[in-house]
Amino acid sequence: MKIFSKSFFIAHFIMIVLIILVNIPGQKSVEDSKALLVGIFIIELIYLYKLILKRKNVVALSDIMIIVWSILLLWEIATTQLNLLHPVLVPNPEDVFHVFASQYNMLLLCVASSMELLVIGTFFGIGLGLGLGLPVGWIPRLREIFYPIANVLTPIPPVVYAPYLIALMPTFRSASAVVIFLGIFWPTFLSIIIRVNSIEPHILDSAKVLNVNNKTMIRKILLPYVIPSVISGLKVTMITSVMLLTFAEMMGATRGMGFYIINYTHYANYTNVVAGIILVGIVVTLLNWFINIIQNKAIKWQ
Amino acid sequence: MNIIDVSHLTFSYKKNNSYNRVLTDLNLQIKEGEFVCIIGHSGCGKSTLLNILAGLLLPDSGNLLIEGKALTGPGTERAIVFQHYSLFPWMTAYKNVLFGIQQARSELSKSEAGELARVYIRKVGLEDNVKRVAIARALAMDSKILLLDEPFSALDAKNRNELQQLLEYLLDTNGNRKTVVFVTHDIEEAILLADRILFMRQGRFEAEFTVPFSRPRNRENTLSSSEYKKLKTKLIDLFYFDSELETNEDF
Repeated sequence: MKIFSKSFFIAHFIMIVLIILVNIPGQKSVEDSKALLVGIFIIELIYLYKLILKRKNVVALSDIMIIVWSILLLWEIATTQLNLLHPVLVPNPEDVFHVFASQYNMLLLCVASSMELLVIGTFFGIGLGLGLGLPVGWIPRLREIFYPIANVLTPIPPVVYAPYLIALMPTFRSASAVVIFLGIFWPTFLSIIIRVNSIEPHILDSAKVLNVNNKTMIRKILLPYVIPSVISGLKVTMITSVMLLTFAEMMGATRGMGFYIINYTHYANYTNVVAGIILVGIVVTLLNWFINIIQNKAIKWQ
Repeated sequence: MNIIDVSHLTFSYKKNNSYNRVLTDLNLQIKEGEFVCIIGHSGCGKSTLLNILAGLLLPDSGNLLIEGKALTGPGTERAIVFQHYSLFPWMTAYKNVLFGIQQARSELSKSEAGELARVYIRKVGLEDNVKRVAIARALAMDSKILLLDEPFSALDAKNRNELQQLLEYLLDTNGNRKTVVFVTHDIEEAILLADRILFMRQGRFEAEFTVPFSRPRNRENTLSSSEYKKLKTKLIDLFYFDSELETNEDF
């Protein structure tokens, strides 16, 4: 595959125009534009890393970069040079990226706080969903009781009881964790019951003729049988978790990414709001990347 | 005493209130250490019979005794190798064999079971071949009865020959032979392996043949003998033509 394609040069041409524009004076409230330049540098580094070291879809990668640089360039021109948009509602990129530099510590704290809730809620949601779903799916009597219950409770969107949970739980953080937990637990529980119930007959027969008891069946046969579906569902699980988390944080938290965004919205400080949204995007991308690593490991194991 | 004693066995598959009769008033007595091949066209009920012997299906009526006791469900005194599957794909070959041993022989310690698993994997050779591993597991379980449902049908000729030889050798190694019920549609395989061949058609045993060769059998000598050719001709006639044939035993 050709690295130095036509797209490669177009992308870099747009990037150079962008850098020149960033360095000439315009409608900017911050003194220096270092943060945006560092941001551009980091994006370029990731691009070059993927292009040269990974060498996968190199032309498409350059095409994507044309779009990325074009959006940044249009944003830059519209806000700092042409003054086309309302300066409060649409802040310029220099100001937005400056937030990352000036509020570095606060943003990291918000991410850490959010991740803590996300990990706790997701971990217990998946863990209990599996731990209870396997025996309930396998033992007919339990299944006949809990499958209809799960069928009723699973479709209730957790966001509707989030405000009530926040009032009910002693701390806001525990309420958020419970919202994520319930949002992950019910779908996992239900899907595990269904998966166990529809286990391939030959796996079931192979286990039956070895005369396995319920405990061995659940631990040695059903658990490894359903694990791949749990892992392949991790991306959807993660998206649900982040959605519930940021929603819960917007309802009354004092920390976290959702709080950061809603707090600055209340002050009409949209520069920080846009920075917060970009931050969520970065965090979700990193989570996705992490899940990809887990899934690739799991595929090798399969 | 017969280790397997089936009398007046009847079985139907039930589907939406309609009954599809598969086995009709079936009788089968197998002595300890005997190798019985059941052959017949697909759909004749031979796999169903094996699944009933394994305890996976319950008959509609009839008596089914294993070692004199009524059969109620699966048990580790009967090891089974299915046609296309048997192993758990998430376990390694070693873990699969070990799992079978631990299920069937709980008296063994973990290290003894592990050692035994390695011994049997070595005996069957290539551990990346699922068929060989399935057979290793069935043998390592040290069950009195082996139920084999067309275990070699999905293999190429070379592997099939090797495994037939291996089965003959492995069954013969420890003095007292296991009792084997082997379902196949391969006539040559049936004659090579069995002490007795039962021909099944539409849920009934239609003919029975005793195989005269002594053990351990040599593949080439057996295939070139005149008894082999005679037996094969009779079986082919049964298999491909609907003619009534006299058999070498009253049935």
